[in-house]
Amino acid sequence: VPPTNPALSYTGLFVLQALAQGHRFGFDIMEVTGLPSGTIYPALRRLEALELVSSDWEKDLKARKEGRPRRRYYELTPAGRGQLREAEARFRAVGRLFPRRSTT
Amino acid sequence: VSRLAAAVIIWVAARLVPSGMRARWREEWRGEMDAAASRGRGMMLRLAFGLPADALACRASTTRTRSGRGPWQTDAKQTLRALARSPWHVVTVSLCLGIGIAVSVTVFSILSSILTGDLPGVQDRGRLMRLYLRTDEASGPSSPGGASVDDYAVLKEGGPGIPAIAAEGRWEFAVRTPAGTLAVDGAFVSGNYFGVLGTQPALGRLLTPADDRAGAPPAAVLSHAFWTATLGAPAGIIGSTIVVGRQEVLVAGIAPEHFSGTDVGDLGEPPGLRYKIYLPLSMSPVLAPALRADERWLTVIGRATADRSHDALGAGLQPLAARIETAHPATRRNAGILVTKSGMGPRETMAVVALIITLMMSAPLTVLAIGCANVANLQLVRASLRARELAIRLSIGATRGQLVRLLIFESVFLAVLACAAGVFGTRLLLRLAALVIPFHVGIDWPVVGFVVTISVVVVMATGLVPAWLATRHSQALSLTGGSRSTSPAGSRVRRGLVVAQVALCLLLLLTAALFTRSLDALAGRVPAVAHDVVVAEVRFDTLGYSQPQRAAFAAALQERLRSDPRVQAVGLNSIAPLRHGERRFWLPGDSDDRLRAAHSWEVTPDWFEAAGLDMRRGRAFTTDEAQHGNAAIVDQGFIDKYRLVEPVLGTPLRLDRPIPAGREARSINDRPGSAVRTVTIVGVVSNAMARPIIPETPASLYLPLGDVPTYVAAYVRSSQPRDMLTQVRQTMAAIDRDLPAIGVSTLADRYTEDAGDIRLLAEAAAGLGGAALLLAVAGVYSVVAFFVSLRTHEFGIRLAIGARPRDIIGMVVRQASRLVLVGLIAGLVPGVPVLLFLGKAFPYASPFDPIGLLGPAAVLALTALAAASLPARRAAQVDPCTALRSE
Repeated sequence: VPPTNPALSYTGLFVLQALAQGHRFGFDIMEVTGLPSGTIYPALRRLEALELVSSDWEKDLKARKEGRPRRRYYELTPAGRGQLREAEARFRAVGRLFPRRSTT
Repeated sequence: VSRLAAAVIIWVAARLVPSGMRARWREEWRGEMDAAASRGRGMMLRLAFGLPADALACRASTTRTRSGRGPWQTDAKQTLRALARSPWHVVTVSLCLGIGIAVSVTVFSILSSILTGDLPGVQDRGRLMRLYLRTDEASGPSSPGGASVDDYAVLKEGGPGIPAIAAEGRWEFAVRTPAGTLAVDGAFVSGNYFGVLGTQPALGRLLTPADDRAGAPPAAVLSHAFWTATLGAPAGIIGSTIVVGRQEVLVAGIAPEHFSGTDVGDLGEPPGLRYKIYLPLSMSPVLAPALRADERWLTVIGRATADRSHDALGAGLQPLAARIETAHPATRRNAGILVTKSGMGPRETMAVVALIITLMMSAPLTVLAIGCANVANLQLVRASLRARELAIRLSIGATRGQLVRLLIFESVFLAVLACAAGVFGTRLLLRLAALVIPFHVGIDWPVVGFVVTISVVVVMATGLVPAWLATRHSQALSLTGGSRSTSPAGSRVRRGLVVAQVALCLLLLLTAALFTRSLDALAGRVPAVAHDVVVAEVRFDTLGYSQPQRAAFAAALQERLRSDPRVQAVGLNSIAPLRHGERRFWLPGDSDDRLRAAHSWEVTPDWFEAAGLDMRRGRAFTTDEAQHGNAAIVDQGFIDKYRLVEPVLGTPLRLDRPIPAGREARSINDRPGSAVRTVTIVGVVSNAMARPIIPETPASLYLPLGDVPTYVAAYVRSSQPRDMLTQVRQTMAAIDRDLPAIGVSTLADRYTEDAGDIRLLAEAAAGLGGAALLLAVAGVYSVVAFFVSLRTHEFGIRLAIGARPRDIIGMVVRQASRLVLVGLIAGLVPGVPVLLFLGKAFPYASPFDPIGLLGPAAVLALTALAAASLPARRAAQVDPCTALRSE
């Protein structure tokens, strides 16, 4: 388990939590956390720079089938998962912030 | 439509993303937009707000190191966030200090540029000395002054500690340009002139002692402005020839930009335009034959090489002064040399200069002090508002050091912003000042340092008060609402300050209004006939015309213009339009010691008709009288002033000798050898309006113009004055293409221009009034905001027991209006005598005009109350729960 990163803000924590609950792309996270896009996206960039989050582009074929541009999906890295676990131990309420995503 | 808007926003924001990531970034956002679009347009708009922030984050991620943020970055972010919450605070603080800094730095920079500042193109001005020649006249010691060409020939040998001495003499040259022959201000300079000043050429070479030798090929140096603005910066100018006063002169080089000799010039001249052309002193006998050998028209300068006192330098030159006296014992009696620093007059000492600086700096420093006081007020308001926030920070574990660091960050940020505003304001003011100040003013950086230090100290000291307050009280007290009292003495000072600011502002606005109305009134004071009169000035000495040449030119000019059917009359006057000469005389029966004086002009017989004056009685001069000069014409003002008894016509006047004219007046009317003579009044004309800003009707005495002097102003009256402007120029050029026509314009335009001094005063007063208005508004705002912050608790109770927000606003604004009202009355008390005095000095508009009085007061009151309504609105928004929670 990596040491606690001092730069992890509440926003970052929310985003990690949302990802852990299965909300996997930016717009979805924005919806479920209720935070504005100007907060979510820069936070995602930062988490990715800290290597707590990794991202991947969805398959071209799937997007074409649904008739829309491709999406960028985010995922927790092992480091991110560890970070989240540690934070949850400190702030128990974070785990109850928003519901688990019903469909994935 | 919203899809299109989203596409546009994505495209614009993508410009911020580093190009390597741009394509993927755009693709991602299109995907997100698409997802948002399925939930409605509102979602899409909400999403779009995040685009720029994300684009900036992408950009930052590539530039920032991966180490994350240090504590300083956190502080910086918190500072920005805290200040963004109170934008009015930031704006008012920067404004108050910015105005103070800008005004002080500008005024001091101008002063120091005049006295000690670097002159453009001149090296090490501190060692440059001005030399004055002091002699005794029959009446006693004369005022120290310039030297003649002969005097300079002795002086240029130099003395101990001051080996190199140079001279410059202002002259007006006739220079042939593509746009015709122009009268151009320039200087004759000694060969070592540019060497003594240490000037480097912009192009070519400057004049050297070899150019100043008799028989050297004529060479000239042009000013940068003349080369670019007048000649159009032709390439290959170096080595070409120009025609100066019919002489072909080689252009040796171009002086550096803004270079204007050692003279800082007069107000109203553009910088670097005083001298447009420099010619060697050895050419003065050819180009200026009218100059007498003993005429003291040269400015003498020297470069000191040793650190000696001015008196010691002067004493070292005494042997030269003795030789000057020996050469001209009659006119250079008891000669001596007075040495002063360049930029200072002969009589100024350091004490006088210090006094002048103190007086001139007192106003801008007052502005700075008022600005600082306002800032202190504002910062204290903020301190009391933030006491709770800081107490919370302390209670959840912030150390005192962290708080202080945070507040230092805020103060530094505010100070930097204020200084930026100050520097911007200074540049703006200097640009405005450049319109009237004839020399280049650089920002005086030591003064900037001084003023900025004061401002930073004020901001820092007041900015750290919250830290002190937060740690002084018990934290519980701060958390529950903090202190609500202030010492009454402190608030009296605050109120007094605002009252003083409002009063001062009213005074300035009233003055500005009076000047503005005076200007309007003056614009309407142009006589109707002046629109039909075209004037043109001729300086014969630019070409060294002899008396017969002058007479021939004047005759040809009048004859050719008279033959034009559009011309009604043509006349000549020896004095420039709107100026006057002066003549002393005795009325019949006056004793010899009872000398009277009247404004006087020498005119041709037709001048009266050409200038639009009516002959009321008698007749104009005859040709015979013009030759013998034994007649005079007076106006009604003359008869009234001297109570001439009927019959006025035929009254003899005994004229004194012409008043000795200085160098400036030489071209006007100076005929040596004139003696006391008697003239007879042969006519009475209507009063001519003098300058529009002189309200009284002068007593005017017109004498016949005999020989054509070296200067004349031609008056042409025509029904088509606009056509005549070019016609007069063409006619003059046809007679002699090398004689420049100066200031060809209608007489009406001359009257309008003449009101320019008042325009300058009006604009300066309006500018000062505007700055004072801003400061007064900031003062009212800061004090009202302070009182509102103290009464938050009270407002909460009032709102809780049923007061409406409207009532609270009314209450606060009423309190502010009392302050403003007291300020207005306090402004009127000194305002009435000031207006009475100004009304005497500028009697063109009534100083107690209702609009002129009430307008400024109303503007001031309304802006001040608008400023007060901002904190009042905040008071009305007090949440009773928050305010009462402390109970």
